[in-house]
Amino acid sequence: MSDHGPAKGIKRWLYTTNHKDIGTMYLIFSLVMFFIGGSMALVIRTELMQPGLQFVHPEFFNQMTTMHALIMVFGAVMPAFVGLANWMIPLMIGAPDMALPRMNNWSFWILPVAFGILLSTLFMPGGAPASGWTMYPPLVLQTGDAFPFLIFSVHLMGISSIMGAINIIVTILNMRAPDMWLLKMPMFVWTWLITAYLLIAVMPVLAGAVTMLLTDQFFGTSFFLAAGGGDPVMFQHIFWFFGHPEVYIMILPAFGVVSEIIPTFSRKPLFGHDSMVYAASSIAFLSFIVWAHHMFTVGMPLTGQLFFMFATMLIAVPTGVKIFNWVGTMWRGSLTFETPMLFALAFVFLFTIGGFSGVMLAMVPSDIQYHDSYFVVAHFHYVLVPGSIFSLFAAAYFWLPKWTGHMYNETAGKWHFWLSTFFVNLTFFPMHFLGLAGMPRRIPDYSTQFADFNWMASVGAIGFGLSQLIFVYVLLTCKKGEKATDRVWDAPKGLEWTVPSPAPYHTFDTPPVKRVAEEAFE
Amino acid sequence: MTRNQRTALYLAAVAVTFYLGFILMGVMRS
Repeated sequence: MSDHGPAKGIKRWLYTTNHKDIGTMYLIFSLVMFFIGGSMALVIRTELMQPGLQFVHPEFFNQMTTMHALIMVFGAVMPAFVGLANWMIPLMIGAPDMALPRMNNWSFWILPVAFGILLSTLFMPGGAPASGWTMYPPLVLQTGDAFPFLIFSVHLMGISSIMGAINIIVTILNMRAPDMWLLKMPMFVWTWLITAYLLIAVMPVLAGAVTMLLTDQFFGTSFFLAAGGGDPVMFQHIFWFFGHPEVYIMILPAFGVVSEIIPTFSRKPLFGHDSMVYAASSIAFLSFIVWAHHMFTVGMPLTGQLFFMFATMLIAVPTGVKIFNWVGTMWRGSLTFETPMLFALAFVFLFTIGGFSGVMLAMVPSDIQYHDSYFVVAHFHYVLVPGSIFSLFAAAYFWLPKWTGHMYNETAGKWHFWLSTFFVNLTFFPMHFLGLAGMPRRIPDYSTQFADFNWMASVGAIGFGLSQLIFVYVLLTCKKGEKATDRVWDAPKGLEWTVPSPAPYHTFDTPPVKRVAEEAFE
Repeated sequence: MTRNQRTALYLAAVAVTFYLGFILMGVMRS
Protein backbone atom coordinates (compact mmCIF):
# COMPACT_ATOMS: atom_id res chain seq x y z
CA MET A 1 0.00 0.00 0.00
CA SER A 2 2.72 2.46 0.90
CA ASP A 3 3.87 2.82 -2.73
CA HIS A 4 0.33 3.70 -3.79
CA GLY A 5 0.58 7.35 -4.79
CA PRO A 6 -2.00 10.05 -5.25
CA ALA A 7 -4.30 10.28 -8.30
CA LYS A 8 -3.32 12.78 -10.99
CA GLY A 9 -4.80 16.19 -11.74
CA ILE A 10 -7.86 17.84 -10.22
CA LYS A 11 -9.41 14.48 -9.27
CA ARG A 12 -6.68 14.02 -6.69
CA TRP A 13 -8.01 17.00 -4.78
CA LEU A 14 -11.73 16.54 -5.43
CA TYR A 15 -11.95 12.90 -4.44
CA THR A 16 -9.05 12.58 -2.03
CA THR A 17 -9.53 10.77 1.26
CA ASN A 18 -5.88 11.21 2.26
CA HIS A 19 -5.40 13.15 5.49
CA LYS A 20 -2.31 14.93 4.14
CA ASP A 21 -4.06 16.10 0.97
CA ILE A 22 -7.10 17.24 2.93
CA GLY A 23 -4.86 18.95 5.50
CA THR A 24 -3.06 20.79 2.70
CA MET A 25 -6.37 21.90 1.17
CA TYR A 26 -7.60 23.17 4.53
CA LEU A 27 -4.36 25.12 5.05
CA ILE A 28 -4.39 26.70 1.58
CA PHE A 29 -8.09 27.52 1.88
CA SER A 30 -7.53 29.21 5.23
CA LEU A 31 -4.62 31.23 3.84
CA VAL A 32 -6.80 32.47 0.98
CA MET A 33 -9.52 33.39 3.48
CA PHE A 34 -6.90 35.09 5.66
CA PHE A 35 -6.03 37.38 2.76
CA ILE A 36 -9.69 38.05 1.84
CA GLY A 37 -10.59 38.79 5.47
CA GLY A 38 -7.39 40.82 5.79
CA SER A 39 -8.32 42.94 2.77
CA MET A 40 -11.60 43.73 4.48
CA ALA A 41 -9.68 44.73 7.61
CA LEU A 42 -7.64 47.09 5.44
CA VAL A 43 -10.83 48.66 4.06
CA ILE A 44 -11.88 49.26 7.68
CA ARG A 45 -8.50 50.69 8.71
CA THR A 46 -8.21 52.85 5.59
CA GLU A 47 -11.58 54.45 6.32
CA LEU A 48 -10.56 54.96 9.97
CA MET A 49 -7.15 56.44 9.16
CA GLN A 50 -8.59 59.93 9.53
CA PRO A 51 -11.79 61.28 11.08
CA GLY A 52 -14.65 61.92 8.68
CA LEU A 53 -16.07 59.70 5.96
CA GLN A 54 -13.50 59.25 3.19
CA PHE A 55 -13.70 56.10 1.17
CA VAL A 56 -16.77 53.95 1.88
CA HIS A 57 -20.41 54.40 2.85
CA PRO A 58 -21.25 53.63 6.49
CA GLU A 59 -23.47 50.73 5.35
CA PHE A 60 -20.56 49.17 3.48
CA PHE A 61 -18.27 49.80 6.45
CA ASN A 62 -20.63 47.75 8.62
CA GLN A 63 -20.65 44.99 5.99
CA MET A 64 -16.86 44.96 6.12
CA THR A 65 -16.67 44.61 9.93
CA THR A 66 -19.22 41.78 9.82
CA MET A 67 -17.67 39.90 6.91
CA HIS A 68 -14.11 40.41 8.22
CA ALA A 69 -15.08 38.73 11.49
CA LEU A 70 -17.08 35.88 9.96
CA ILE A 71 -14.33 35.11 7.44
CA MET A 72 -11.46 35.32 9.92
CA VAL A 73 -13.21 33.23 12.60
CA PHE A 74 -14.88 30.54 10.48
CA GLY A 75 -12.81 30.75 7.30
CA ALA A 76 -9.25 31.44 8.41
CA VAL A 77 -8.50 30.46 12.02
CA MET A 78 -10.76 27.42 12.45
CA PRO A 79 -9.99 25.71 9.10
CA ALA A 80 -6.28 26.39 9.58
CA PHE A 81 -6.30 24.48 12.87
CA VAL A 82 -8.40 21.70 11.31
CA GLY A 83 -5.80 21.55 8.52
CA LEU A 84 -3.02 21.17 11.08
CA ALA A 85 -5.09 18.51 12.86
CA ASN A 86 -5.57 16.60 9.62
CA TRP A 87 -1.90 16.69 8.77
CA MET A 88 -0.41 16.11 12.18
CA ILE A 89 -2.76 14.08 14.40
CA PRO A 90 -2.45 10.79 12.43
CA LEU A 91 1.32 11.33 12.24
CA MET A 92 1.57 12.12 15.95
CA ILE A 93 -0.47 9.14 17.18
CA GLY A 94 0.87 6.63 14.64
CA ALA A 95 -2.41 6.19 12.69
CA PRO A 96 -2.52 5.49 8.93
CA ASP A 97 -5.14 8.19 8.26
CA MET A 98 -8.15 9.87 9.85
CA ALA A 99 -10.83 7.48 11.10
CA LEU A 100 -13.51 8.49 8.56
CA PRO A 101 -11.65 9.56 5.42
CA ARG A 102 -14.65 10.07 3.12
CA MET A 103 -16.41 12.24 5.68
CA ASN A 104 -13.12 14.10 5.94
CA ASN A 105 -13.30 14.95 2.23
CA TRP A 106 -16.87 16.12 2.66
CA SER A 107 -15.98 18.26 5.72
CA PHE A 108 -13.50 20.18 3.63
CA TRP A 109 -15.44 20.59 0.39
CA ILE A 110 -18.46 22.02 2.20
CA LEU A 111 -16.29 24.98 3.23
CA PRO A 112 -15.59 26.57 -0.20
CA VAL A 113 -19.32 26.30 -0.91
CA ALA A 114 -20.21 27.95 2.42
CA PHE A 115 -17.80 30.83 1.89
CA GLY A 116 -18.73 31.17 -1.77
CA ILE A 117 -22.31 31.71 -0.61
CA LEU A 118 -21.24 34.13 2.12
CA LEU A 119 -19.01 36.17 -0.21
CA SER A 120 -21.70 36.26 -2.92
CA THR A 121 -23.87 38.29 -0.54
CA LEU A 122 -21.57 41.27 -1.19
CA PHE A 123 -23.20 41.55 -4.62
CA MET A 124 -26.82 41.15 -3.51
CA PRO A 125 -29.46 43.87 -3.14
CA GLY A 126 -29.02 45.32 0.33
CA GLY A 127 -25.42 44.15 0.41
CA ALA A 128 -23.71 41.66 2.71
CA PRO A 129 -24.77 41.12 6.33
CA ALA A 130 -23.93 44.23 8.36
CA SER A 131 -25.13 43.38 11.86
CA GLY A 132 -21.76 42.26 13.23
CA TRP A 133 -20.70 38.61 13.39
CA THR A 134 -22.85 38.26 16.53
CA MET A 135 -26.00 38.55 14.35
CA TYR A 136 -28.08 40.09 17.15
CA PRO A 137 -31.79 40.42 16.44
CA PRO A 138 -33.67 42.58 15.73
CA LEU A 139 -30.83 44.33 13.84
CA VAL A 140 -29.84 41.25 11.82
CA LEU A 141 -33.43 40.87 10.62
CA GLN A 142 -32.96 44.14 8.68
CA THR A 143 -30.41 42.39 6.44
CA GLY A 144 -31.47 42.47 2.77
CA ASP A 145 -31.56 39.54 0.38
CA ALA A 146 -28.35 38.29 2.02
CA PHE A 147 -30.14 37.11 5.17
CA PRO A 148 -31.11 33.53 4.22
CA PHE A 149 -27.72 33.09 2.52
CA LEU A 150 -25.99 34.15 5.74
CA ILE A 151 -28.02 31.61 7.73
CA PHE A 152 -27.38 28.84 5.19
CA SER A 153 -23.66 29.51 5.05
CA VAL A 154 -23.41 29.49 8.86
CA HIS A 155 -25.24 26.15 8.87
CA LEU A 156 -22.79 24.75 6.34
CA MET A 157 -19.80 25.99 8.32
CA GLY A 158 -21.31 24.35 11.41
CA ILE A 159 -21.86 21.01 9.64
CA SER A 160 -18.30 21.08 8.35
CA SER A 161 -16.89 21.82 11.80
CA ILE A 162 -18.99 19.16 13.51
CA MET A 163 -17.99 16.49 11.01
CA GLY A 164 -14.35 17.54 11.34
CA ALA A 165 -14.60 17.36 15.13
CA ILE A 166 -16.25 13.93 15.07
CA ASN A 167 -13.47 12.68 12.81
CA ILE A 168 -10.77 14.04 15.10
CA ILE A 169 -12.28 12.52 18.26
CA VAL A 170 -12.82 9.11 16.65
CA THR A 171 -9.28 9.13 15.26
CA ILE A 172 -7.74 10.00 18.61
CA LEU A 173 -9.87 7.62 20.68
CA ASN A 174 -9.75 4.60 18.37
CA MET A 175 -6.61 4.77 16.26
CA ARG A 176 -3.65 5.50 18.54
CA ALA A 177 -0.54 3.35 18.26
CA PRO A 178 -0.64 0.43 20.72
CA ASP A 179 1.58 2.01 23.40
CA MET A 180 0.19 5.50 23.24
CA TRP A 181 -2.07 5.73 26.22
CA LEU A 182 -3.96 8.99 26.63
CA LEU A 183 -1.61 10.83 28.97
CA LYS A 184 1.31 10.01 26.68
CA MET A 185 -0.24 11.83 23.73
CA PRO A 186 1.51 14.99 22.50
CA MET A 187 -0.04 18.24 23.76
CA PHE A 188 -1.22 19.24 20.26
CA VAL A 189 -3.29 16.04 20.09
CA TRP A 190 -4.61 16.61 23.59
CA THR A 191 -5.66 20.19 22.99
CA TRP A 192 -7.36 19.17 19.74
CA LEU A 193 -9.24 16.34 21.50
CA ILE A 194 -10.60 18.86 24.00
CA THR A 195 -11.32 21.40 21.24
CA ALA A 196 -13.24 18.81 19.21
CA TYR A 197 -15.50 18.11 22.19
CA LEU A 198 -16.13 21.85 22.50
CA LEU A 199 -17.01 22.00 18.80
CA ILE A 200 -19.52 19.16 19.06
CA ALA A 201 -21.15 20.82 22.03
CA VAL A 202 -21.44 24.38 20.73
CA MET A 203 -21.61 24.43 16.93
CA PRO A 204 -25.11 22.88 17.10
CA VAL A 205 -26.07 25.65 19.52
CA LEU A 206 -25.08 28.29 16.95
CA ALA A 207 -26.96 26.33 14.30
CA GLY A 208 -30.03 26.28 16.56
CA ALA A 209 -29.76 30.03 17.17
CA VAL A 210 -29.57 30.90 13.47
CA THR A 211 -32.36 28.41 12.67
CA MET A 212 -34.56 30.35 15.10
CA LEU A 213 -33.52 33.61 13.40
CA LEU A 214 -34.56 32.08 10.07
CA THR A 215 -37.98 31.01 11.33
CA ASP A 216 -38.49 34.41 12.96
CA GLN A 217 -37.84 36.07 9.62
CA PHE A 218 -39.72 33.75 7.27
CA PHE A 219 -42.03 31.41 9.18
CA GLY A 220 -43.87 33.70 11.60
CA THR A 221 -42.25 32.56 14.86
CA SER A 222 -41.28 35.02 17.61
CA PHE A 223 -38.33 33.45 19.34
CA PHE A 224 -36.52 36.77 19.53
CA LEU A 225 -39.22 39.30 18.60
CA ALA A 226 -40.52 41.21 21.59
CA ALA A 227 -43.68 42.21 19.70
CA GLY A 228 -44.66 38.54 19.42
CA GLY A 229 -43.81 37.67 23.02
CA GLY A 230 -40.21 36.65 22.28
CA ASP A 231 -37.01 37.87 23.86
CA PRO A 232 -34.09 39.39 21.90
CA VAL A 233 -31.83 38.96 24.94
CA MET A 234 -32.39 35.21 24.74
CA PHE A 235 -30.54 35.25 21.41
CA GLN A 236 -27.60 36.90 23.12
CA HIS A 237 -27.56 34.18 25.79
CA ILE A 238 -27.72 31.39 23.22
CA PHE A 239 -25.20 33.06 20.91
CA TRP A 240 -22.64 33.54 23.68
CA PHE A 241 -23.21 30.03 25.03
CA PHE A 242 -21.73 29.13 21.64
CA GLY A 243 -19.51 32.19 21.37
CA HIS A 244 -17.41 31.83 24.48
CA PRO A 245 -16.38 28.19 23.94
CA GLU A 246 -15.74 29.28 20.34
CA VAL A 247 -13.04 31.60 21.68
CA TYR A 248 -11.34 28.59 23.26
CA ILE A 249 -11.83 26.55 20.09
CA MET A 250 -9.61 29.16 18.45
CA ILE A 251 -6.96 29.22 21.20
CA LEU A 252 -6.65 25.68 22.65
CA PRO A 253 -5.03 24.21 19.50
CA ALA A 254 -2.72 27.25 19.57
CA PHE A 255 -1.70 26.23 23.10
CA GLY A 256 -1.01 22.77 21.68
CA VAL A 257 1.21 24.13 18.90
CA VAL A 258 3.21 26.27 21.32
CA SER A 259 3.56 23.28 23.65
CA GLU A 260 5.20 21.35 20.81
CA ILE A 261 7.54 24.13 19.69
CA ILE A 262 8.91 25.52 22.96
CA PRO A 263 10.24 22.12 24.18
CA THR A 264 11.86 21.47 20.77
CA PHE A 265 13.82 24.73 20.75
CA SER A 266 14.55 24.54 24.49
CA ARG A 267 15.86 20.99 24.08
CA LYS A 268 13.90 19.93 27.15
CA PRO A 269 10.69 17.96 27.65
CA LEU A 270 7.54 20.02 28.19
CA PHE A 271 7.43 21.06 31.85
CA GLY A 272 4.32 19.68 33.56
CA HIS A 273 2.77 17.77 30.62
CA ASP A 274 -0.06 16.30 32.70
CA SER A 275 -0.85 19.61 34.39
CA MET A 276 -1.11 21.13 30.90
CA VAL A 277 -3.76 18.53 30.07
CA TYR A 278 -5.69 19.28 33.23
CA ALA A 279 -5.35 23.03 32.66
CA ALA A 280 -6.70 22.75 29.10
CA SER A 281 -9.58 20.61 30.36
CA SER A 282 -10.34 23.14 33.10
CA ILE A 283 -10.34 25.98 30.58
CA ALA A 284 -12.75 23.99 28.39
CA PHE A 285 -15.08 23.31 31.33
CA LEU A 286 -15.02 26.92 32.51
CA SER A 287 -15.72 28.16 28.98
CA PHE A 288 -19.29 26.83 29.34
CA ILE A 289 -20.13 28.84 32.45
CA VAL A 290 -18.87 32.33 31.60
CA TRP A 291 -20.93 33.31 28.54
CA ALA A 292 -22.84 36.19 30.10
CA HIS A 293 -19.67 38.24 30.66
CA HIS A 294 -20.20 39.33 27.04
CA MET A 295 -23.50 40.94 27.98
CA PHE A 296 -23.11 42.55 31.40
CA THR A 297 -24.64 45.76 30.08
CA VAL A 298 -27.94 44.21 28.94
CA GLY A 299 -28.90 43.88 32.58
CA MET A 300 -28.94 40.87 34.88
CA PRO A 301 -29.34 40.20 38.60
CA LEU A 302 -26.40 41.08 40.85
CA THR A 303 -25.87 37.39 41.65
CA GLY A 304 -25.65 36.70 37.92
CA GLN A 305 -23.05 39.42 37.48
CA LEU A 306 -21.02 38.10 40.40
CA PHE A 307 -21.20 34.49 39.21
CA PHE A 308 -20.09 35.29 35.67
CA MET A 309 -17.42 37.71 36.87
CA PHE A 310 -15.79 35.26 39.27
CA ALA A 311 -16.16 32.27 36.93
CA THR A 312 -14.43 34.32 34.22
CA MET A 313 -11.61 35.40 36.49
CA LEU A 314 -11.13 31.74 37.47
CA ILE A 315 -10.00 31.02 33.89
CA ALA A 316 -6.86 33.02 34.64
CA VAL A 317 -5.73 30.17 36.95
CA PRO A 318 -5.39 27.31 34.40
CA THR A 319 -4.17 29.82 31.81
CA GLY A 320 -1.52 30.94 34.29
CA VAL A 321 -0.53 27.29 34.77
CA LYS A 322 0.09 27.05 31.03
CA ILE A 323 2.15 30.23 30.83
CA PHE A 324 4.14 29.11 33.89
CA ASN A 325 4.81 25.71 32.32
CA TRP A 326 6.05 27.25 29.05
CA VAL A 327 8.41 29.48 31.00
CA GLY A 328 9.38 26.45 33.13
CA THR A 329 10.17 24.51 29.94
CA MET A 330 12.52 27.26 28.78
CA TRP A 331 14.15 27.59 32.21
CA ARG A 332 17.79 26.50 31.90
CA GLY A 333 17.02 25.08 28.47
CA SER A 334 19.46 25.25 25.60
CA LEU A 335 17.49 27.83 23.66
CA THR A 336 17.78 28.69 19.99
CA PHE A 337 15.61 31.17 18.17
CA GLU A 338 14.56 29.83 14.80
CA THR A 339 11.41 31.36 13.28
CA PRO A 340 8.91 28.88 14.85
CA MET A 341 10.40 29.56 18.29
CA LEU A 342 10.25 33.33 17.74
CA PHE A 343 6.56 33.14 16.85
CA ALA A 344 5.92 30.85 19.85
CA LEU A 345 7.75 33.21 22.22
CA ALA A 346 5.87 36.23 20.88
CA PHE A 347 2.69 34.21 21.37
CA VAL A 348 3.46 33.73 25.07
CA PHE A 349 4.17 37.45 25.64
CA LEU A 350 1.46 38.97 23.49
CA PHE A 351 -1.30 36.46 24.25
CA THR A 352 -0.68 37.27 27.92
CA ILE A 353 -1.34 40.97 27.19
CA GLY A 354 -4.69 39.92 25.72
CA GLY A 355 -5.25 37.76 28.79
CA PHE A 356 -4.65 40.67 31.14
CA SER A 357 -7.09 42.94 29.30
CA GLY A 358 -9.49 39.98 29.47
CA VAL A 359 -9.31 40.01 33.26
CA MET A 360 -10.01 43.77 33.18
CA LEU A 361 -13.07 43.11 31.00
CA ALA A 362 -14.23 40.34 33.33
CA MET A 363 -14.81 42.83 36.14
CA VAL A 364 -18.41 44.06 35.96
CA PRO A 365 -17.88 47.68 37.09
CA SER A 366 -15.01 48.24 34.67
CA ASP A 367 -16.64 46.24 31.88
CA ILE A 368 -19.61 48.57 31.96
CA GLN A 369 -17.14 51.33 31.05
CA TYR A 370 -15.24 49.34 28.42
CA HIS A 371 -18.21 47.57 26.82
CA ASP A 372 -18.51 48.02 23.04
CA SER A 373 -15.42 50.23 22.99
CA TYR A 374 -12.13 49.85 21.15
CA PHE A 375 -10.69 48.38 24.35
CA VAL A 376 -12.67 45.22 23.56
CA VAL A 377 -11.37 45.30 19.97
CA ALA A 378 -7.80 45.59 21.30
CA HIS A 379 -8.38 42.72 23.74
CA PHE A 380 -9.73 40.13 21.34
CA HIS A 381 -7.34 41.04 18.56
CA TYR A 382 -4.42 40.52 20.96
CA VAL A 383 -5.61 36.99 21.73
CA LEU A 384 -6.50 36.20 18.12
CA VAL A 385 -3.74 37.79 16.02
CA PRO A 386 -0.50 37.49 18.01
CA GLY A 387 -2.30 34.61 19.75
CA SER A 388 -4.02 32.20 17.37
CA ILE A 389 -2.55 33.49 14.11
CA PHE A 390 1.04 33.70 15.38
CA SER A 391 0.71 30.12 16.60
CA LEU A 392 -0.45 29.15 13.10
CA PHE A 393 2.61 30.80 11.58
CA ALA A 394 4.77 29.07 14.20
CA ALA A 395 3.17 25.73 13.27
CA ALA A 396 3.63 26.37 9.55
CA TYR A 397 7.35 27.15 9.92
CA PHE A 398 7.80 24.25 12.37
CA TRP A 399 6.22 21.55 10.20
CA LEU A 400 6.84 22.99 6.71
CA PRO A 401 10.08 20.97 6.30
CA LYS A 402 8.18 17.80 7.25
CA TRP A 403 5.41 18.63 4.76
CA THR A 404 7.59 19.70 1.83
CA GLY A 405 10.91 17.99 2.50
CA HIS A 406 12.72 21.32 2.22
CA MET A 407 13.87 23.94 4.71
CA TYR A 408 12.18 27.31 4.34
CA ASN A 409 14.17 30.53 3.92
CA GLU A 410 15.15 31.35 7.51
CA THR A 411 16.11 34.96 6.75
CA ALA A 412 12.73 35.64 5.13
CA GLY A 413 11.04 33.88 8.04
CA LYS A 414 12.80 36.13 10.54
CA TRP A 415 11.82 39.24 8.55
CA HIS A 416 8.25 37.98 8.51
CA PHE A 417 8.35 37.52 12.27
CA TRP A 418 9.92 40.86 13.22
CA LEU A 419 7.80 42.95 10.86
CA SER A 420 4.62 41.14 11.91
CA THR A 421 5.43 41.60 15.59
CA PHE A 422 6.22 45.29 15.21
CA PHE A 423 3.16 46.07 13.13
CA VAL A 424 0.73 43.92 15.11
CA ASN A 425 1.58 45.94 18.22
CA LEU A 426 1.43 49.22 16.31
CA THR A 427 -2.05 48.22 15.12
CA PHE A 428 -3.64 46.94 18.28
CA PHE A 429 -1.84 48.54 21.23
CA PRO A 430 -3.16 52.07 20.57
CA MET A 431 -6.69 50.62 20.45
CA HIS A 432 -6.49 50.12 24.25
CA PHE A 433 -6.08 53.87 24.67
CA LEU A 434 -8.82 54.63 22.14
CA GLY A 435 -11.23 52.39 24.02
CA LEU A 436 -10.34 53.80 27.42
CA ALA A 437 -10.85 57.29 26.00
CA GLY A 438 -14.33 56.28 24.88
CA MET A 439 -14.16 55.44 21.18
CA PRO A 440 -16.97 53.00 20.35
CA ARG A 441 -16.36 49.98 18.10
CA ARG A 442 -18.07 49.34 14.74
CA ILE A 443 -18.22 53.01 13.65
CA PRO A 444 -16.93 54.48 10.36
CA ASP A 445 -16.30 57.97 11.75
CA TYR A 446 -15.12 59.36 15.08
CA SER A 447 -14.44 62.46 17.08
CA THR A 448 -11.18 64.30 16.29
CA GLN A 449 -9.53 63.56 19.65
CA PHE A 450 -9.15 59.95 18.51
CA ALA A 451 -7.32 60.87 15.29
CA ASP A 452 -3.67 60.22 16.27
CA PHE A 453 -4.07 56.72 17.68
CA ASN A 454 -6.33 55.74 14.78
CA TRP A 455 -3.70 56.91 12.32
CA MET A 456 -1.09 54.79 14.11
CA ALA A 457 -3.37 51.75 14.09
CA SER A 458 -4.06 52.14 10.36
CA VAL A 459 -0.36 52.45 9.50
CA GLY A 460 0.23 49.34 11.60
CA ALA A 461 -2.55 47.42 9.84
CA ILE A 462 -1.24 48.25 6.37
CA GLY A 463 2.29 47.28 7.47
CA PHE A 464 1.02 44.02 8.98
CA GLY A 465 -0.92 43.19 5.82
CA LEU A 466 2.09 43.80 3.58
CA SER A 467 4.35 41.77 5.91
CA GLN A 468 2.20 38.71 5.27
CA LEU A 469 3.34 38.74 1.64
CA ILE A 470 6.73 37.58 2.98
CA PHE A 471 4.98 34.45 4.25
CA VAL A 472 3.63 33.79 0.75
CA TYR A 473 7.17 34.28 -0.58
CA VAL A 474 8.47 31.76 1.99
CA LEU A 475 5.86 29.21 0.92
CA LEU A 476 6.50 29.71 -2.79
CA THR A 477 10.28 29.42 -2.46
CA CYS A 478 10.28 26.57 0.05
CA LYS A 479 10.82 23.93 -2.65
CA LYS A 480 14.13 25.63 -3.50
CA GLY A 481 15.39 25.34 0.06
CA GLU A 482 17.96 22.80 1.21
CA LYS A 483 16.78 19.24 1.74
CA ALA A 484 15.28 18.66 5.17
CA THR A 485 16.44 15.74 7.28
CA ASP A 486 13.86 13.35 8.73
CA ARG A 487 14.13 14.86 12.19
CA VAL A 488 14.44 18.41 10.78
CA TRP A 489 15.28 20.11 14.10
CA ASP A 490 17.95 19.37 16.66
CA ALA A 491 16.03 17.15 19.05
CA PRO A 492 12.30 17.10 18.36
CA LYS A 493 10.09 14.60 20.17
CA GLY A 494 7.19 12.75 18.63
CA LEU A 495 6.32 10.12 16.05
CA GLU A 496 5.96 12.63 13.22
CA TRP A 497 9.76 13.02 13.21
CA THR A 498 10.31 9.28 12.73
CA VAL A 499 8.86 9.33 9.18
CA PRO A 500 10.85 10.67 6.18
CA SER A 501 10.73 14.31 5.03
CA PRO A 502 8.57 14.95 3.07
CA ALA A 503 6.14 12.64 4.81
CA PRO A 504 5.21 9.84 2.32
CA TYR A 505 1.66 9.79 0.96
CA HIS A 506 0.85 6.86 3.27
CA THR A 507 2.43 6.58 6.70
CA PHE A 508 2.05 4.07 9.54
CA ASP A 509 0.32 1.42 7.40
CA THR A 510 1.35 -0.78 10.29
CA PRO A 511 1.33 0.81 13.74
CA PRO A 512 4.76 1.91 14.99
CA VAL A 513 6.33 -0.66 17.27
CA LYS A 514 6.97 0.11 20.91
CA ARG A 515 10.67 0.79 20.41
CA VAL A 516 10.03 3.48 17.80
CA ALA A 517 7.41 5.06 19.98
CA GLU A 518 9.74 5.12 22.96
CA GLU A 519 12.62 6.59 21.00
CA ALA A 520 10.34 9.30 19.75
CA PHE A 521 9.32 10.37 23.21
CA GLU A 522 11.93 9.42 25.80
CA MET B 1 -20.90 -1.23 11.69
CA THR B 2 -17.27 -0.60 12.54
CA ARG B 3 -16.07 0.72 15.87
CA ASN B 4 -15.17 4.04 14.24
CA GLN B 5 -18.64 4.41 12.73
CA ARG B 6 -20.26 3.57 16.06
CA THR B 7 -18.20 6.18 17.92
CA ALA B 8 -18.99 8.75 15.22
CA LEU B 9 -22.69 7.99 15.50
CA TYR B 10 -22.66 8.55 19.28
CA LEU B 11 -20.95 11.91 18.76
CA ALA B 12 -23.37 12.89 16.00
CA ALA B 13 -26.25 12.05 18.35
CA VAL B 14 -24.76 14.41 20.94
CA ALA B 15 -24.58 17.18 18.33
CA VAL B 16 -28.18 16.65 17.18
CA THR B 17 -29.34 16.64 20.81
CA PHE B 18 -27.68 19.99 21.44
CA TYR B 19 -29.20 21.42 18.25
CA LEU B 20 -32.75 20.27 18.95
CA GLY B 21 -32.42 20.88 22.68
CA PHE B 22 -31.60 24.53 22.27
CA ILE B 23 -34.43 25.05 19.77
CA LEU B 24 -36.78 23.31 22.22
CA MET B 25 -35.57 25.69 24.92
CA GLY B 26 -36.38 28.57 22.58
CA VAL B 27 -39.87 27.16 22.02
CA MET B 28 -40.46 26.84 25.78
CA ARG B 29 -39.26 30.37 26.46
CA SER B 30 -41.16 32.21 23.76
